[in-house]
Amino acid sequence: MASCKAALLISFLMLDGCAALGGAPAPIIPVKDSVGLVSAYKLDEAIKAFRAADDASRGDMTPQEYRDMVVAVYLAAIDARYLEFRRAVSSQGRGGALGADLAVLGLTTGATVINGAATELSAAAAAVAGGKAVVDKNVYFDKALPALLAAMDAERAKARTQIVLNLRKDANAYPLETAFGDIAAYESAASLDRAVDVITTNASEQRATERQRYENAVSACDGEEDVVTQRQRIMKFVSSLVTVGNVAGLDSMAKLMGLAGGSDATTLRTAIRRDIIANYCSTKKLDDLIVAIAAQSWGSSI
Amino acid sequence: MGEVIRYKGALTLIGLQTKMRNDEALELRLTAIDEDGSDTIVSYEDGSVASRSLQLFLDPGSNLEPPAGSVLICRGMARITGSAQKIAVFRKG
Repeated sequence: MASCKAALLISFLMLDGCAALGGAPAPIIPVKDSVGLVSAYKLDEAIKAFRAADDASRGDMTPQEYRDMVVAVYLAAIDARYLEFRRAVSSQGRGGALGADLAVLGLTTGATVINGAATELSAAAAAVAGGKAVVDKNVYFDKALPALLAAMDAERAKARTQIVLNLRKDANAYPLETAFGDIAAYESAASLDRAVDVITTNASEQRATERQRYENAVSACDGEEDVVTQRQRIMKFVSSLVTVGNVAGLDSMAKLMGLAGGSDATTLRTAIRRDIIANYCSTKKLDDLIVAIAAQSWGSSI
Repeated sequence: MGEVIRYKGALTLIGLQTKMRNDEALELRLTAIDEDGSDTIVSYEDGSVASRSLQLFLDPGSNLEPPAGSVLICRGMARITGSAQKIAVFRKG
C-alpha cells in the first residue's frame, strides 16, 4: 500500500519536459564530496574509534567531540543529497526532463548515506525507473508536490531537532551508536511515503474536525418567511442586556423561552440565539415572543 | 464564537438565501458554505452586517464575478432542491 502511494506520487519524475529552469543555486560543495566524506567514518570504524580508550585514536578528540564531528559529517551528506533531490524536482516542476536522469539524484543507486537506512525514496524512484505508474504531470506538480515537499521538510526538521537536542548530552548519555540510529531516522524522514502519510493523516484529522463541527451544527427550523426585522429586534435587545451586564434579564428571557437559565451572559446569549435559529422562523412566533418579552419588567425596552 | 447552521437540502436557492439572511440578522456574518451529502452547512462568525445584504448565486464554473456594488464573500457548495451545487456568496454594499 505504502509503496503503491510512493510509486504513484513519484511517477511524475518520468515525464517528458522542455528545458529546465534551475530551482536553486548550484551548491558550492559538490554533493559527491559531502557524501564522500562519510566513507572516512564508516559505522563500524567510527564506533570503534568512539569507544577507544585514548583520544589519540580519535585525532585527539574527546568521545563527545568525535561523536559531534561524525554526526555533523553525516548530516551534511544527507542534507546535500536531499537538496540535490529538491533541486531536481524543482527543475522538473518548471518543465525539465528528469525521467532518464534519476540516477543522478542518487535515488536509484541503492546506496543510502547511512548503511542500512534504506529510504522510501530509493524504492519509489526504482518503481518509477521501472515505469510502473503513469499519472497526470500537472496534477501532481501543481497540486501535490508543494504539499509533499513541505511535509518532507517538516518531518526532516522534526528528526533533526531531536538530534540537535540529543547532542547536548554527553557521550555516555548519547553515544555514537544511538546517534547513528537518529541519523538513519533523519535520512528516512525524507520519504515520499511518509510525506503522503502525514498529509493523509492531517487531511483525515481535518475532515474529522469538520465532520464534528457539522454534527454539532444547529438545525435551522422550517419556514422561508423573511423574519430579518423581528430577529434583529430581539437580538439587539439580547445584546443590550449583555452590554449592561443584566444577567438576571438574560436568565429570565432564557427561561421564558423554555431554556435552562444560567449565570453567564455570553452562554445565555448563545443559547437564546441558537433557540431562535432552531425554533423561531415565522413572523407570528417571533412577534409572540416579542410581546411576551415586552410584558416582563426586564423586557419593556425591547 | 459564531455558529454552524444546517439547512435542509430541499430548499430552493432563494429559500436558502432568505434563511441565511434571517440568521445573519442574529448578529452573525457568513464565512463559509458547504454541503454534507444531505444538507447545506453554513459557518458564521459573530458580527453585524447590513440587513438582507447577502446574495447567493449558482456558480458552476467557480468564477462568477460579483454583481455591481457587491463583493465576494466565499465560494463553496450547497444543497439546492436536493442536488449539490457550486455556489458563490456575495455581499451588497
